[in-house]
Amino acid sequence: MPLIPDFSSASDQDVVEQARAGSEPAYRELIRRYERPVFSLIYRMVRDRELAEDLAQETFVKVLNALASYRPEFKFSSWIFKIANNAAIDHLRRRQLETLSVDGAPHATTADQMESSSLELADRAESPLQELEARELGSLIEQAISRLRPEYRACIILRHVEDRSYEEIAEILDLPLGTVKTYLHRARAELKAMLGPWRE
Amino acid sequence: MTDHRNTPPLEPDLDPVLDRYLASLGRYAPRPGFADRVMARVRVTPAPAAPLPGARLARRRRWPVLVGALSGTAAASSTALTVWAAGHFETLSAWLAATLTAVGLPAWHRLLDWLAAQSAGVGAAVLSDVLAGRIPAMAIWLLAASLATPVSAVALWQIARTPVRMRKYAAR
Repeated sequence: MPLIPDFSSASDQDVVEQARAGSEPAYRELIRRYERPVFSLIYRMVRDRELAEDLAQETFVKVLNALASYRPEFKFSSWIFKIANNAAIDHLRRRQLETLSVDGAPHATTADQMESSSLELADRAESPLQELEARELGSLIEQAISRLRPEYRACIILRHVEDRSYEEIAEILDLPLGTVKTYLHRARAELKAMLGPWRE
Repeated sequence: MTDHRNTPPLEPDLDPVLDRYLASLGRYAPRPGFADRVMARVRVTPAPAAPLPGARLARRRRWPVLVGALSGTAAASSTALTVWAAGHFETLSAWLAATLTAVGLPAWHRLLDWLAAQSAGVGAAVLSDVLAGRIPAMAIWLLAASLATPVSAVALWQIARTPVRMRKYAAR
């Protein structure tokens, strides 16, 4: 039986090296590490589950088929987030989406469509009360984030969900560092204004 | 979009309530089987090992260019020498004649005597004719130049030809 390599302590660069050498488990490890971050970013940008799946899949196919051109001096996460964000922005430019419903995509009309496109949070290890509170907060903040312009939204998601540094966000979004800070400041100000009635 | 590059950046502020909201944001998961769906569209191919310089040269079909360049250089220099010799034929002839008369001719005569004694070959006869003045040295130079010119032309054509480039992979 072939041995399954253990990538638990391997850096992204090491895994990419293995993938470039033709190791299928290394490809799967890269997908395992980034499927949720990439899908979450795209999902929050386009606000449609089916579409987000398609765009996330396109992102991975593009990245994994172009591993030979990856330059190890750059962070792999920056590279994949950049491609994911570009995929989402390209889509938003082509199709102007209107409003978000946490119960489903704007175009969902039937119960099946609403269920298939509804937001589905990943598992969290929290008590029922914490989960309820988090769901309430999450629902409000999701709606508020969805009303931000795409550039602000990407900055907020990368900073507060993916915990990326300002420098990495600037690299991902191809923006000057000062612009990223300004976007975050304005995005936070808009979020505060939108959440005003619910703030204690 | 507003360009903020010329204005001082606004530092993101601290707001514990907003941060509590933002901290409640989780990650979403794609449907099960996402990795399989991706892998079905990914080509898992090992990167080729770094080739040896010689192999790479041969694969890129650059070796005719190299051979052409080397032979072209040799041909060009011999052509240049021919042209220079033609331009300074009198001086060169006088110098050669003096040198040959003083040193070379006696030696050549001895060599030719030896060659004539050893064999009546064509080369010796030609050399004898050249030295005896029956075949002009200019004819020898012209023969060399007429051989060198087409070789140079082929080499220059090889160098000037647009190299064949590998088509870059375009991700689907």
